[in-house]
Amino acid sequence: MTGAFIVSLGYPLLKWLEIQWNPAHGVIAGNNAFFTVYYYLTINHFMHSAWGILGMAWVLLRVWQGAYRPGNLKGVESMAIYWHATDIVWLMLFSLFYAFV
Amino acid sequence: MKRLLHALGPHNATQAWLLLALLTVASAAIAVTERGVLPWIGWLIAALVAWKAWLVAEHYLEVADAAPMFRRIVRGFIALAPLALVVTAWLESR
Repeated sequence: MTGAFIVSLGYPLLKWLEIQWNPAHGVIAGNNAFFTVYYYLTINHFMHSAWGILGMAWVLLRVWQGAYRPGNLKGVESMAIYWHATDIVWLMLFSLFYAFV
Repeated sequence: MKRLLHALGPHNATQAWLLLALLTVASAAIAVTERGVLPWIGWLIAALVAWKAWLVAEHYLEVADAAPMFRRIVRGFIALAPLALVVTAWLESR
């Protein structure tokens, strides 16, 4: 869980680098409909990922507190479902906005 | 066919994760090397996206154990982007 949390922090770091890189290379929301939708959806996805990272931090804290037991893992499972649902959305966004452009 | 896919597919979350990592490396390699010269690249990307989404849905979201309605919604959702990519590739090839 600690490893997953540390790796998840790479996402906002990469997003920050991307946001820095974009204007320098002409990727601005007002350019055309494609870039407007790109910013709208990727920022939305980032916000959901940020909630997921906060949720992961909470689950990690609860793990350290020994709050979860066999038969009482709903918090961890809910967090995992949220995270992987966000992951599936990312797969869609990545293929439409990054891989095929 | 279903049995073959099941036999070839990962049998636990660790194998699914390794396969996802492998597909991600393959996707990145395509993105770095391909420069719009391969006519079937859109189809290949659509297939890779569909495969990765299927792996996440089956092995991490465990949709097979979900309620039928939720299962259909997730499987329908993960089909959208690959279908859009296939249609785009087809239109570009015309």
